[in-house]
Amino acid sequence: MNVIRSFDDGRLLGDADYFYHGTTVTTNAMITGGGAKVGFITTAGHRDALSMMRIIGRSAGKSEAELKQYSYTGKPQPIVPKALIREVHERVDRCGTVVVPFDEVGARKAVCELAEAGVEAIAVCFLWSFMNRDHEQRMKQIVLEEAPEVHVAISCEIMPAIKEYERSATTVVTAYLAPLLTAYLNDLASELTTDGLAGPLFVMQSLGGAMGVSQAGRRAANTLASGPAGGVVAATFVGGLIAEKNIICADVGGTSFDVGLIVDGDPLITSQSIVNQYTLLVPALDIVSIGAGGGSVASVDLGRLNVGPTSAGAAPGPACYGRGGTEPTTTDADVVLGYIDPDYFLGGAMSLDKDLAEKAIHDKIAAPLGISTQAAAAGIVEIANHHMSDLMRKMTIERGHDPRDFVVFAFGGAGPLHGGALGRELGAKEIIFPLGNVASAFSALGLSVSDLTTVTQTTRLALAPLSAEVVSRTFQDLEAEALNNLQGAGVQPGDIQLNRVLELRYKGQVHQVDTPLPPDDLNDDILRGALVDFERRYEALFGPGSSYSDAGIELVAYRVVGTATVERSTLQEADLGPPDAGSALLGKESLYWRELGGETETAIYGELHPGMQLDGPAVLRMPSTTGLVHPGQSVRVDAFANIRIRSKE
Amino acid sequence: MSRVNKPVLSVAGSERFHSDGVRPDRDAIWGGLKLFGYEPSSEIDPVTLEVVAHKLWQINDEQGETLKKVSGSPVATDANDFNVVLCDELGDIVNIGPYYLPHAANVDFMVKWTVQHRAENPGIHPDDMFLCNDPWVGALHPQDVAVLSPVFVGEELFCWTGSTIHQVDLGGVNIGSWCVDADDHFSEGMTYPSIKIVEGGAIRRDIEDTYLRRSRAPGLVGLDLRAHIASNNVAKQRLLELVERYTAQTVHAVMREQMDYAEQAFRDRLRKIPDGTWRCETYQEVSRTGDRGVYKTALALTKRGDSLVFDFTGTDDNVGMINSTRAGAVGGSMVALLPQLCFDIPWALGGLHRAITYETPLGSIVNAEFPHGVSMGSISGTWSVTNASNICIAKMLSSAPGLHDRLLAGCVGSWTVVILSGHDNNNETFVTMVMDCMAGGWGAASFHDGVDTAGLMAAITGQCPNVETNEGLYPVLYLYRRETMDSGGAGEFRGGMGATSCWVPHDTNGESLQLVLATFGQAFPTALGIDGGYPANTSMYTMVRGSNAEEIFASGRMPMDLAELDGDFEYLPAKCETMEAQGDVFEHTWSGGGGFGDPIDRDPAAVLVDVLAEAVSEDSARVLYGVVLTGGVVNKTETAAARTAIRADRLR
Repeated sequence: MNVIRSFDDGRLLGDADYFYHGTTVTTNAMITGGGAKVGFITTAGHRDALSMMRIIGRSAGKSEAELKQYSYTGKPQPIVPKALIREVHERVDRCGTVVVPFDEVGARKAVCELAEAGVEAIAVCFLWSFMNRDHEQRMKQIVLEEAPEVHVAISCEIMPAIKEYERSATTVVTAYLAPLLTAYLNDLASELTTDGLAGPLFVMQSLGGAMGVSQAGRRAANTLASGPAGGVVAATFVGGLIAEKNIICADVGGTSFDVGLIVDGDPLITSQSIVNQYTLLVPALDIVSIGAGGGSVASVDLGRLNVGPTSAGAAPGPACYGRGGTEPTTTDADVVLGYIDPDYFLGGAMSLDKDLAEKAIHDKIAAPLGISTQAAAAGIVEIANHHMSDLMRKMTIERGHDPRDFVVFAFGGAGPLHGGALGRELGAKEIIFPLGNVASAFSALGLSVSDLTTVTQTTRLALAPLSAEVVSRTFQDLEAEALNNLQGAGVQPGDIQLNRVLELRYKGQVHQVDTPLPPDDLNDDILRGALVDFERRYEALFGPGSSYSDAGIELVAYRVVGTATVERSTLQEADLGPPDAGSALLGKESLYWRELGGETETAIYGELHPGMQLDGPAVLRMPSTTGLVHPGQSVRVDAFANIRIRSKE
Repeated sequence: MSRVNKPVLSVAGSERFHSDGVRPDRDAIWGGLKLFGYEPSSEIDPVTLEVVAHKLWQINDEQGETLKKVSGSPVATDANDFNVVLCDELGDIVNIGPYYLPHAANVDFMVKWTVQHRAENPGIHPDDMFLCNDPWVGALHPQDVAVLSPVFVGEELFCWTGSTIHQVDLGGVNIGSWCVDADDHFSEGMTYPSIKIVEGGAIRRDIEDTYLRRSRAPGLVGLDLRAHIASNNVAKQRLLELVERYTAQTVHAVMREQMDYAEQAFRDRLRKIPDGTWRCETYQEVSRTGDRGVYKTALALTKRGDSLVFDFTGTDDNVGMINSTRAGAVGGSMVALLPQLCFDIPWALGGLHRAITYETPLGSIVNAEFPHGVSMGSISGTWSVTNASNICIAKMLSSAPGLHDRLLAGCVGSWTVVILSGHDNNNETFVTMVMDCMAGGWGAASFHDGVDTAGLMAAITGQCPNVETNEGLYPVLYLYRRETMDSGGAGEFRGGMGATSCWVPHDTNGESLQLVLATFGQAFPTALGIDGGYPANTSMYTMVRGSNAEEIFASGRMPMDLAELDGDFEYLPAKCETMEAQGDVFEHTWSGGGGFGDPIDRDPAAVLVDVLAEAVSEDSARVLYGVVLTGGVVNKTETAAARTAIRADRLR
């Protein structure tokens, strides 16, 4: 807040139309255990869904290398200990029919016991509650009556979707975070108002879009892991400016490498996210991460050169940081090769020790392998690049796309250093360091260009053919809820767009495919068309011969995605200057390029300006970002200062 | 003479199908098949080696993902009951996928046999694929079907890629092909000893029809066949792209190096372990419907210098349907070996096998003679080999100071088959293998408790279905599914809990559901403890016929235990087929993991936590751990006395 106040005596806030906030409060609470003391109430006989975690709680979010270390794998600390779980006699079946009536007496006793034990929040998840909400709503009423000071979250309001483990976990995590998040946001909102903010406060979600503060309690879990989303949102925005609809986003940081995908102008989303090994039914941008980046440690074992998955992290960090690290890392290799100027790391914010980097690579890699330090450094970079490009390829192919149809946006601290090699390895159409010099801080742009987004959904299992009347009615309910959510954030109805999606699958099969429906009045023809569309999409995603029409098509869920575009900052197009980049040339150095097998004279450029063009090999040492242009690549800078790299024909 | 003990007649000439897993002689001539002529001395730089090795790993990964996509079946996609593999031209394994381990660990047997028996007639050519589920040739049991693709560079056989998927039914006397009523292999699912299913890139329709005709679920099996073919094609195409980019000599050299490196790293590790022999005897009860016998798997694991010998001498003779073939015994050993000894070594089995010898007596339950029953092979002979290997390796590591942290006590002592079939209220037929028992407990480590409902030792990852998912697909209503109290073996570090499921038919078409049940570990626990730790629970099938569950529902209560029900209690044997009528309540309980260390050395505070979490009963706390609780806290005086008494009792 003090930072904001320091701008212009608070006039900044007074002039703002709205205030976007990306928070780490919830993520930190998950890591440090700082959320509320939660009690959990569930259907009699199913208490252990939360601890069994469908067994995936042992492996979710872990790499293959970690999982092979059986004796070091396990489940996370429980958010709710078994002593704070109560079972209530009640049961609804798959059709929503009540099999065992709700036990009012037992329910009151459960709430009183939990309140007695000092819980601050109660999460409720009954089996099949998305088919019949009565028991959960009755339960909520009882909590409000018996323990009005306790926060209550019921699963049919948080996420009315099939899968009791994931729904329970989502409800519990929401209850765990909601009191903290709402208190934090209320404080922030009142401070902002006091300081002159007239517009609304928006909170960033892992889905990429933001939400209003009034939604934050119910959607507290949606703020988890919203950090990596910023880069993909920003890429979607910049992609729109330059008419690139298919983008692989490569965010190369110090310890993690995040890959996201934009297809036909929209970022891919996934209906569940993994947080601390819990699988939550929280829609999120589909971002895949591995522990790779500048800090990946290189080692030699029995004559084999390995890079990662161990990371030197920030402390001790790469050897060249001079903080006591002796293991060579990718950053050390970049320094040894002269790609990173040791006196100008992070825009000069930190100086690096090239001698330490050379010593680490010589002692730990070059000497055992009997090769030169330079060749060892180039080898480390090459292996790290292949690990990253292999992940990008996997991510793209697995979602049914060919990386050669995409451009690569390379950003984050080490993005422009490695992006050129990544894009070349994938055969991407073009490699772009978005917005040039600010590529290292590109993710921050995502906050200010976000839409407001809300997702409402419900599971309803039904076999095709579908009833137009039932489908219409269900969508109308979900649309009303979505409108309500967005209008609660202060958006005008005219600015809201609602999209309908059916989740369909072949009966008895696992894969669900999102199939859009038009916003019009539905009839049997439109629904038949949707089934045909589903089969087409299924084969496109899962391959020829994968469809299984004989099994029949089953409707799993309805979903409405509501978005509201708020007035946002725009980027100005600059006039293109002359192509000659000579004015940006800082000098020439003889640098090693593995693809050439030796050193060659390499141009070093400072900040580039729109319109400039140049050929590789070159190092771009811009004020806050360093990028590489490989031999055989050429660069042009577009009107938004994007640095765009192609292979020379 | 009862059917149970009916003798199995030997079949002359069947020895031809016994694959021994030994690498064929490269110089042997098979029908003009040309093997890739590699240059043994070809040097590769360490960077190219690492880059290509990572890409080989990723090809396997992409192959597995493709298989899951096309299959879409809950067995392959959720439970990961499949695997993918890359072998060299003669079948030595270069890489296996991170899925169900035994499905990959035995593909070398099949490739080796195929090279020797199919090259001359019908010939092995580019764009052919071979389907194999013959346990003597190398499958775990007939339900585990492999499709093998030779990869040619020019006219030379360069390598093989393959995939294995468990099929829900391939015929035989019992639904699901777990043939508890079979007299011998001739009543089990049909076996195909490596037949050319794809010729010149196209499926042979006659062969496909022959294959699908024998299944009760031809739609699903046909879809999985497409998953096999699509995933093998992806792997083959990517391998050829790699060859084009890095040359065949380089890629082949990397494959050899992967195996050499794994062998060297493995031998280095073995050298750090004291020499010795470690033994384990474990048992299976009930060899088929009606039998009441108990059968031993005996293992003596000897480590000398830098090699291992798995010696199964002393194992009982093959009997009923609980046998594995030699391929299953090798695969079963690898399940215990890979995570405990090769946690950071590439799983290039072709290299690891060079340091291991297997003694599997022919005609025993770990190396059955044709035509003894093998339909339960994957989870009988093979699983008992895993149990014995798990314990022998853990004992070995217990005496190896630097590797003490890598051992696990016995994990998930058995798989508890429940094949459920019938009709729902729309008269739709269904057949499924209930995957709840994926949630087995793991054995304790030497420094922490075993993971509760952790999964299988044989599968790095996996999932068990949600109750809602099962109820959505099949006409049952669960009374409960929960972690089983006292199922984790007692110890200084407790074994992980297994769990229990209980349901009643709901929304059927009125007919009874049919169940095929097959497990072992009912008569005694089979997830054993280590270093004084106690074993896990026993598995159990219980049917309460004509129960009053519906009346209890209507009274406003969900029964939380079978003891709340009235009806005829039937404790079902480890192998049987049975019906479940309206109102019949069926419960099954599966295995947890064994404990590590002496339970009376366990911190009493940890025992109290377990009692509060209902992981351990107060009775067990007192009897096994010597921990006495009074008013919800540890009674220190009585605990000390109880532990002294336990010690004294042991010395008596």
